[in-house]
Amino acid sequence: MFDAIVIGSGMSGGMAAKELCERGLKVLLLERGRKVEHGADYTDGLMPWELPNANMIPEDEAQRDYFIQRECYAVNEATKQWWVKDSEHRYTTPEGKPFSWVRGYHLGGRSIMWGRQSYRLSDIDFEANAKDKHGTDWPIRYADIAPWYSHVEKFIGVAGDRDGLPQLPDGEFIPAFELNDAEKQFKASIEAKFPGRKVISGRTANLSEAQPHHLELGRNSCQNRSICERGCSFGANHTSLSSSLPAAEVTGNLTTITDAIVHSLVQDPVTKKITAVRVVDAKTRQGKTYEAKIVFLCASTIGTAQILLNSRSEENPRGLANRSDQVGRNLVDHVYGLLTVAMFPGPKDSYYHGRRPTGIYIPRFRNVTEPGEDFVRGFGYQGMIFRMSSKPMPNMPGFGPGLKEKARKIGPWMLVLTSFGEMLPSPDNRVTLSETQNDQWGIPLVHISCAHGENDLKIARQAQADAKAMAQAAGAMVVGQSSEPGTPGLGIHEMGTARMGRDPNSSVLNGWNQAHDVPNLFITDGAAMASSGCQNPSLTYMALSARAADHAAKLLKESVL
Amino acid sequence: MHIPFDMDRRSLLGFATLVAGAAATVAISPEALAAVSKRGKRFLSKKPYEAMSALADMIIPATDTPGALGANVPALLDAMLLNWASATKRDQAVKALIALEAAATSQKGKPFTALSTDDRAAVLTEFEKVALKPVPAKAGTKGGLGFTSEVADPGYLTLKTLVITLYYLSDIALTQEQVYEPVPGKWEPSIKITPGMRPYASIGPF
Repeated sequence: MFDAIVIGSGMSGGMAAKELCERGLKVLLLERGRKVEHGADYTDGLMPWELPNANMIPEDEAQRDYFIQRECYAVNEATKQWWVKDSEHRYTTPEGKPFSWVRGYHLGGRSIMWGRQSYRLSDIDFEANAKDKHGTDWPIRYADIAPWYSHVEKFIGVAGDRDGLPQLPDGEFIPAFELNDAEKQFKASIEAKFPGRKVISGRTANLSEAQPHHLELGRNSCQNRSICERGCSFGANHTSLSSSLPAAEVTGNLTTITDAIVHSLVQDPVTKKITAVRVVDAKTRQGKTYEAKIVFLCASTIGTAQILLNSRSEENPRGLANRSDQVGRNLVDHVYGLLTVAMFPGPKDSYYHGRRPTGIYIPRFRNVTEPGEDFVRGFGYQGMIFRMSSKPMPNMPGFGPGLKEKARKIGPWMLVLTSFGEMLPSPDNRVTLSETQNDQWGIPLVHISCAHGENDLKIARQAQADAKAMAQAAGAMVVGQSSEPGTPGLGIHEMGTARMGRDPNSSVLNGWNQAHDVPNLFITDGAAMASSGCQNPSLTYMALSARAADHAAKLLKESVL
Repeated sequence: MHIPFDMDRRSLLGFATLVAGAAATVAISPEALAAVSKRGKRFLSKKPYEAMSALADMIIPATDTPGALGANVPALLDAMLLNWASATKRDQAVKALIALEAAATSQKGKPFTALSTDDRAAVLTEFEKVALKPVPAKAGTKGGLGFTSEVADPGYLTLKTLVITLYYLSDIALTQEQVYEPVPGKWEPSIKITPGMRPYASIGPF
């Protein structure tokens, strides 16, 4: 018997396993996907001319196997090994209501190819539900999680500036990736013309300067290659493979089993504790059970809901930990896919060297320093200003020596802004289990029904209007703007299906990410989020994971569990 | 993980030798191309392969640096048609090559491959005017940037896109045309542009 079982080895599970191991617990880590190795399984060593098929997935294969995953910007021939084949991992959605579930099943999960942007939530976010009555009140406030943000930031390494913004609290940063000259010009222009708006360096979990504890784990400084999603052999970005799992392993307390798909959890009707984790071997389809004193469920927002719902029993006909009927509900993703592209009048004689792994960030200002006229919550922007490629545009007439000559010139500055908007929790946006279809492991398929609501679409419109106004105010010429947000799910920030809350009748988890109904079950992935903020959420998952692990270890030590 | 293009080492060497031996500023003769195209598994048969090679040579010719032929683009492009393109895309590409040959024959009385560089340029200029004419994008492209359009001859656009893409991914382009640093090391946010400075190529999103 183990002290703890952690289900899922991604961003949250990796951190939970590390923190539990470091507190002396014997931990079993279960990962549904295959084993992969840091370095050995990466494709970052390929030179551009070695990329198979010019780095494009063959069209028939993309259509057959990656018809959802292909919508994600980071999916290509060199990274396709990190994404599930949609043909093998099915789910259903209602007619006319698509949801793009983008994911990878392998050791380390999506931590291998995450976008690395790392932002704290603030009390504006933790208080939002209580103030505007959407969703239920978070059981924690910023002060509860702030030390854990610091703890995680120090460990993973977050490059950023201390910007002193109440809506985006500062953290324990390593040096930021400095803005280029065009971005500095944009920053000066925006901050002068729109008081209350800020343009900052995107805070990112890439080691601008590896610290001694990073080097000790075999992690090195970022080499500015910007091919992070192929897997970084330098270990310069935080992933489970480069960072949290090696730290867990050095304790000698970690056992990892891959190809172990969790089917369901078994609860003792008397003690209400989980007594066993039922697993199906991905290859042999053999069933097996594992036991531990506590369980951390970090299977990702939709996967976690699937496991809870599939753990239904006579006592729990609606699924485990589901007295509130909130398991699977309140699914949100950031309002995403809203691009603004503009030609920017940056300094003519200035350039940059290196391909940095981040860009600029414009923190939320609507309903912070400026009102949102007809909506609640807000949005932030990621973006960058870069020298456009001067390579020939194939759809423009022209050929011959002139094309080559043009491609030798350094291109003009281009501004790209992409907004991330907060989506309000709604009980009708939900994950349920199919009554009729199982996957090849005998687990009911998930059915995802999720659509943007009125407030979400107002946020999208305002974000586009504000982006255009900022670009123009800075002297840029807007050449294109998305007209509507992408399909929900494409933000790959799905959250909310087992929310934290104060009341067991309206939430699934308490203030320690502990299930109200199951004392030895902790859920610390995106499922726990009572609201989404507009910040990229992984840092919050990791902080919640570390905080819950510390709490759970104390409860074990005090024999409460 | 590395899946090489459908091309054996001998074909590569053959190409290199051929290109090295050819005069740098004129199109390679159809005979020479045909000799190379005999080797290895190919998608395009002899005539369309030669037409595609001649087209690639026109789009990115050899100048003071090797062009598409020197960078082995025809063989790579043929492999893309074989290994990457869908049946529809392949058919469109072949049709575009046939249309180009037809245009050459009707305007100059000879196939594209048999024309002088100047005549090829005259034919291709007219051909592109029609082939690359924008047509409205098909409905249902959600969340696009609003300037997405398609062109009248998608097969020609595929060929031209592949020529440019493959050339600018080649070691020749990335060492002689632009500057590609696999491991830049430091991020330097501000450097002065000096006369003749070449752009840094990027392969990832940034």
